[in-house]
Amino acid sequence: MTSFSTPTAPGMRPGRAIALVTRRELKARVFTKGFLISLLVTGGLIIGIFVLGSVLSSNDPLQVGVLGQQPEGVEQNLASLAEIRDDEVEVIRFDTRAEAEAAIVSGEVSAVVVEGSEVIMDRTDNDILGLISPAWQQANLVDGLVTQGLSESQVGEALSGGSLRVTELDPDPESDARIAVAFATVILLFISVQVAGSYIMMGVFEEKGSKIVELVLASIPARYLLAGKVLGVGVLGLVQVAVLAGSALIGASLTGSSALPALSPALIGTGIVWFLLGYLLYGSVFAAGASLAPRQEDAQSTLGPITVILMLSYFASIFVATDPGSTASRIISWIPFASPFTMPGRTATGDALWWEVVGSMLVTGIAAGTVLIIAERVYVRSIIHTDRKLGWREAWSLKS
Amino acid sequence: MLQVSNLSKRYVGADVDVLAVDGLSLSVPRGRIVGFVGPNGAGKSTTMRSVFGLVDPDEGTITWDGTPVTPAITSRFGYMPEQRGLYPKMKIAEQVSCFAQLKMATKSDADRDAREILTSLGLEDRLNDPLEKLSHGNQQRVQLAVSLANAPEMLILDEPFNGLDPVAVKTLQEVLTRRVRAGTGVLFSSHQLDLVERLCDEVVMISKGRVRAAGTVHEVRAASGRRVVEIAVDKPLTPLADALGSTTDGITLVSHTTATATVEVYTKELLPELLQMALAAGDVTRFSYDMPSLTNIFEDLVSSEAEEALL
Repeated sequence: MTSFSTPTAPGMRPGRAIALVTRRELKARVFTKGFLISLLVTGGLIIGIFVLGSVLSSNDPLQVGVLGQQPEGVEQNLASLAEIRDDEVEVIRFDTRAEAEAAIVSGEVSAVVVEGSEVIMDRTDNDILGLISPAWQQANLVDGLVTQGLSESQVGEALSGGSLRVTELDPDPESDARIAVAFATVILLFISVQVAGSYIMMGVFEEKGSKIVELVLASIPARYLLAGKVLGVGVLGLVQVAVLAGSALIGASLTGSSALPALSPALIGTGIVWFLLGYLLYGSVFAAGASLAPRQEDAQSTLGPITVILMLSYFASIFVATDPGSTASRIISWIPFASPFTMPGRTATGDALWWEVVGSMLVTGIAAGTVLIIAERVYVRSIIHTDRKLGWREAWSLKS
Repeated sequence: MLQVSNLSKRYVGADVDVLAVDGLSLSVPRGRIVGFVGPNGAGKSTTMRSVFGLVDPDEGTITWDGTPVTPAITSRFGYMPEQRGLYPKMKIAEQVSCFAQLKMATKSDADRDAREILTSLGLEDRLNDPLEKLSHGNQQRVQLAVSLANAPEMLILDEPFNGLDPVAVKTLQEVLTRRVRAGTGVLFSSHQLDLVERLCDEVVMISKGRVRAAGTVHEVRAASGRRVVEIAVDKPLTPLADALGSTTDGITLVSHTTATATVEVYTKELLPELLQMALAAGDVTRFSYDMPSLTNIFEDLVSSEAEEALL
């Protein structure tokens, strides 16, 4: 038997209608196996890249054996020479030559220095010799000078006078890591904006192509439908960006990666704002473009130009990430459709000044607002026309 | 009461210029079921879509209890569009509830309503199935459930019986009758005129965007002068058949055997003349006639339209 629910109060409540559309959109997209799996896989991949990178680049300490009497200070010399080469040395003592030779053959040690005057190796390895020889030469030299009657402080003075002073042209030890982070940020933002944009597009197609929109629009105005959809997919995109950025942070922290300093709160914070701006800018154009086409096949002409702009912006941002300090890069990173990808790249490399970031965010925000107003007008006027393809101009001038 | 007054809509495009609706008026009182019939392209869907603001009419007004309709008012109506469409991957109970909530029902009311309506339409075992898993006929039932949810005060159904099997047709009839008894007004379009004749209190017949006949089914049938007459005479009918075949404008012999003839008269004023002819043929044992069916009237409408087109 059919019973009747209480008739509800008349009057449209925009907030509620929009919230309903948002919730449906989230449910239809987030809680699908495909989305969750792809999110987990991507997050896992990012962490995996960090772990793999650290495993490949990490070195076991170099094992050097000693037998018999050694000059004083040779172990400190070895350690400091190894540090210059970003390496570590472990010194192992042997009591007999036979033991030492056996250890070399088994690969336990790379070389054994005997009585400060002989090196036993499997075969000559210049890389190891280049580390061992100076350590012993210097120690032997000090020993010799002391034997000649110089005091230890005199020897120390003489030696330090001989070392070279270093002038650094690029003192940032993480500069390579920063550029890598810039690339990663640009690619991540591009993918996120593109994915969110295509979700919007697919959502509009789904409703228009299958005529669901007829029934929805009999219940709520088109602009609520658009607002709910943009919000829903926006939340979805934010989740995606958060998971990917979080994975990068976790990966970098776990491995103590040199990229960690570049993954600053400033980069992640502005990155999220840039995602939202880029998403609004591109997503609203995708929504309006999709609403013009009755079928997905018709969308190539309505969405062609914006796809080209998106790709150009992506290439521009790759260029900017490789040369973030140049004048061209500074200018490009102020162009609204390119800013969401280019400016975060420059933030990652540390080349963007704070006022550049804030200023270009404002410019992009104004552009996004303008595009949103235009897109809303086109969407509201064209979404109900399920019978034929409309042009941008035609849709703009239709009666609502 | 839903009142459509003097509605006009012309579609003008690059290669189209169609006057889809031309000064059309109709009304649907609460608790009444009105059949909306007419040939394809007569303007039925345009009229129905206008109620929900999906078409922007050039002229005319649409009111509900005297107030021009707004989205707030039509959110209390149920609608089944000609172009069917629901979310393919959404579970059907969730889907019906979702549309009820869009019409401002609370979630718990909408969930309960969705379950009850789908159950009454025989879909109680499929509540948690996605729409796309259902057969075409069952998807149609879900579409109907969406229009019935949230206790609409007015139901506007564009060809609701299309694509339903006889069992589903019966179920839908029962559901509509029950709703109408509870005070809902129903306007539905259909090409199944026998069904309209059985189910409707009133009928509005349109063509080319204009109302051609309107009123109770009896009124519409009575308004037509056309009568189909069964005649039986106690002598062989051949002379009468010959006479009917050769003479008299407005009287047509449809078929005959040796004992009976079926004759159509285009106006009931010709009945006495026909009776005279029958009496001349012998003792008349049967002379019965009935008002034309809606189907007959519809056919007349279409053929007169075709004649107009030729002129």
